[in-house]
Amino acid sequence: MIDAFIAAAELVFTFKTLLVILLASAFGLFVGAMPGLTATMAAAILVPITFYMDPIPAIAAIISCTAMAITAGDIPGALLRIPGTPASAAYVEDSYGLTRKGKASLAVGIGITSAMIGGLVGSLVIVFAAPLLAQFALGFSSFEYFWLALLGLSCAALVSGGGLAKGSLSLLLGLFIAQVGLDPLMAQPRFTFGSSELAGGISFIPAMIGMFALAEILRNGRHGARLEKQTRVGNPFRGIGAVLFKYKKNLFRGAGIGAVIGALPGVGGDLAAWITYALAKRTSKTPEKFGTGHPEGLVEAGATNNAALSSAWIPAMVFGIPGDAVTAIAVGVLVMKGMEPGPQLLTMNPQNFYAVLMVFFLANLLLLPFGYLAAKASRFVFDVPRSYLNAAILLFCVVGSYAINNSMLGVWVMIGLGIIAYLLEARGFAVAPIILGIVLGPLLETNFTTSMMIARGDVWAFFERPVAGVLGVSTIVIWVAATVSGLVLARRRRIRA
Amino acid sequence: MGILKKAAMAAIAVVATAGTALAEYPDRPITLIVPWSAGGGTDATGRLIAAQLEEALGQPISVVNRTGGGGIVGHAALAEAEPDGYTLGIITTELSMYKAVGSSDLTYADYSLIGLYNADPSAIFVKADSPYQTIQDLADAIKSDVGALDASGANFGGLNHLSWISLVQGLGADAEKINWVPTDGGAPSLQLLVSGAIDVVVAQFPEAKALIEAGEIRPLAYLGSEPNKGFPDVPTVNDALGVNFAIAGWRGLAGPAGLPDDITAKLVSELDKIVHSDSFGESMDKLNFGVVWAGGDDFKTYLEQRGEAFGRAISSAGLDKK
Amino acid sequence: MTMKARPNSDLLIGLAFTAGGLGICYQAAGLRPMPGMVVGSGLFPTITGAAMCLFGLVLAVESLLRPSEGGDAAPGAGPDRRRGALPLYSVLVLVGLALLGALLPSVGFILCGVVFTALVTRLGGAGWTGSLVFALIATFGLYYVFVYGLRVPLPHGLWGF
Repeated sequence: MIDAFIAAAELVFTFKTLLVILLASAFGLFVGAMPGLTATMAAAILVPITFYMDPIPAIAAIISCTAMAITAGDIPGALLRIPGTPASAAYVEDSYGLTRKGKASLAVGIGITSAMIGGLVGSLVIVFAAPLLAQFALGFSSFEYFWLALLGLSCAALVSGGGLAKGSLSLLLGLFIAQVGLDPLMAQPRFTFGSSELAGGISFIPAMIGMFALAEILRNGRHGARLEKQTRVGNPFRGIGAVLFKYKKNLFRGAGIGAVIGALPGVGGDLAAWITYALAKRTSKTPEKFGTGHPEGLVEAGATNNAALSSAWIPAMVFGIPGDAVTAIAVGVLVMKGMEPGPQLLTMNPQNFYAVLMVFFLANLLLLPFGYLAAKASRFVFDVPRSYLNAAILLFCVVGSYAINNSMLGVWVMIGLGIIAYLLEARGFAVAPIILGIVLGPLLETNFTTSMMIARGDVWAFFERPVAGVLGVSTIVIWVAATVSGLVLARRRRIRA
Repeated sequence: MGILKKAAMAAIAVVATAGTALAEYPDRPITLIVPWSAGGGTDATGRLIAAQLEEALGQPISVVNRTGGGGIVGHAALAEAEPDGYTLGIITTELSMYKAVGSSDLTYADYSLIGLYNADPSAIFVKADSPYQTIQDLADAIKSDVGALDASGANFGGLNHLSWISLVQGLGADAEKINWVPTDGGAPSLQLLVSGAIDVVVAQFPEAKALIEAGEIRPLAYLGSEPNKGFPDVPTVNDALGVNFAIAGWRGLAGPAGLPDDITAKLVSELDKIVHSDSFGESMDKLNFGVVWAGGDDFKTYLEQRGEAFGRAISSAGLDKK
Repeated sequence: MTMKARPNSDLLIGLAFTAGGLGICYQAAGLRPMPGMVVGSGLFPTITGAAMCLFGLVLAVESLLRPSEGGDAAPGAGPDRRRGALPLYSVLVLVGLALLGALLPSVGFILCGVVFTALVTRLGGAGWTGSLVFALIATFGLYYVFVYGLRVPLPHGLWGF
């Protein structure tokens, strides 16, 4: 093992590999910080370039670029309320809330440092528990996935404010939007009204841009949101240590849960942050502060996000089952470079496996200096006059929503959902559950129908497998508890009134 | 970063080419539409083709993933593009099925066919601790009660579903009783198999390789006419059961219908060289994709045959009604 | 709550969702079932449509039971939210976006982008010169980043740019 470690270090700590990691990180930072551009896009752009690289630098490029892009996706979320990933939509109200309080650097800083710690914990988990976690993930069938998706969606609906009915309606609206297009079972057009463009479905990127960025501009008009003056500090990371220490329990719990859920192919990254955000609120002493610029949930969910990102590589590397587009691209690169995913990656060529892990550590450590620069630079955003900033955001909204599928449909979706989000938010609805509904709707539906077909219509089969049973009962308990507390609250209000 | 350099080079290229207005094709960047998502097999092979074609033609080729609707969106976008040679695309197996299943009217006639570069038959897999030790055991189970077997491998009406239907019919069992669990593709189906939720998966070898090596699943039979190079010990169904098979997944390069003949001819000859080059063969080997070449009219003949075979399987399984 | 309460808005939205849910169920009933299967394309839409219907009714009933209160404020929406009235700037921005969406495929990104950005910047209160210079920089910058850096082809107009 020591030999393998040294061999791995020799592979990673070469000038060329380190340079690749640095450049790919910078590229990831750039792409991630642009609203509407995704980590998947960044990775896909890098693939042709990796053709000309040695195996380890090639993988290093993909890993460091995506880790940076996903973390950097939190930056436009914190500064402009345009979350970069569905996961960062979980805590965008808190990070943007901090910005409104004049603490933009703190918001960006917390996001980046907790992501870094989460990522490091996630990498450690891979070192020690990769085979174990891989085995755990393989035991998940459609029944478990269905309950997990439903549990995550329930968390989003119940935690995001506005009450039980409004949260559920937001979620259901998202689930409905996800159903537009060809159905996953028989490829019948649903709710497309004869349009072949709509048959392709509505992707979440234009939806997210419209509902967060456009709705924000519509609401605030030409003067922008009323922000408190940004506090100018020499060191944008000052005060972060104290915050992280105060919420150290959240930090490590978030990272741990993220590492476990992230190993489940397909759901990991998007869901984990929502579940831990809900958990943080549930166990907090001050749950009422959540969503107003309170760092507690931000710390926990931010750590979860990057921990899940690291462990998403476990099923991809050990069994060749990629969980999302990024790991799928990475598996392709691994194969091209003769490092085929599979258990032999751990046994026959352990130096390659350890080299990949070292890249994870390096990429996560690099988050700190890059994050420092980003946090320091972020306050300049507020020196730009609002008239220019708004115009730039709007142009970005259009280009970003066009670019995801190279189609005008994205632009219309962005405009339409922006208006809907504005109207709903004015009535106390939260938009985040809509986004998660769009993202996880297909997953929920396919796992539901798949399970129903395997069970041949018998609903009890959803509780027969042990893990599925536990997840199912937990989901039901959460709903019952939320309904009861909602009723009690309503009763108390009426008595008071 | 390469991007900056590339941007600069591209800017220079734009200025340079603007001067020579009537240059030979291609004189500006080409778009390659891939109808499936980034990371899948079509995307991987499409990007491979794009990278080599870029070198051969001397113009940048940007790969665009137009996904959705079981590939229909991307296939339709290519068919509707301007036939000027600056929009090309990868077309895949599903094109042979849309019309028969009734999900779209697109057929190979809507394209200028350039060349077939890949074709892969599927294989049949069971979980490592499955009671079925050989394909003969599974065949007996199919004959006695096919309705009790949960099988999966792709979407409803997809390639692997049709392969399964053909096998069941070949064994003389009732295809209407099949319980096919539709998924997005090989990986989620294999996940279901390994977690013990279903009994059989029909998938392609590249998707299943890691799980075979991990000892989680076993291949029972290969659905090609010759054994797979990577897995020579896995028997073909022709040998083991005497059931004849002609279903394989394919991928090819095409443009919108009405591409000028000289452009088509140029692309066919360039793709011919690429497909037969060592570097392409090696990369495809590593990805475990089978290289098959059929250029221009040969591609058309190939697709005619495919269309008929798929049509037969689809109508006999009752997927085409209503 | 400091704002003027709108007791009826929740009732209306709830009823709208109920109607929407019914519409979804109706549409889902028209989808063809799988041959010989319990599960079909319409099953999941029916379930979510029914749930939307149910929660829409819950919201409507809630608003009737406590007519003195409006909805809870959305998280992060803050006190500076103006209920109902859309600022004129926002209306004009929406009109601009709709025009941009309609014209982009035929006029092309460069021309549309410059005009739109310049107008929106001017609308936001900047001077004409500043707006125009900014629009040129932003549009061409984005164009080059996307088309050459990220290889995303942006729409070319009928004139080829």
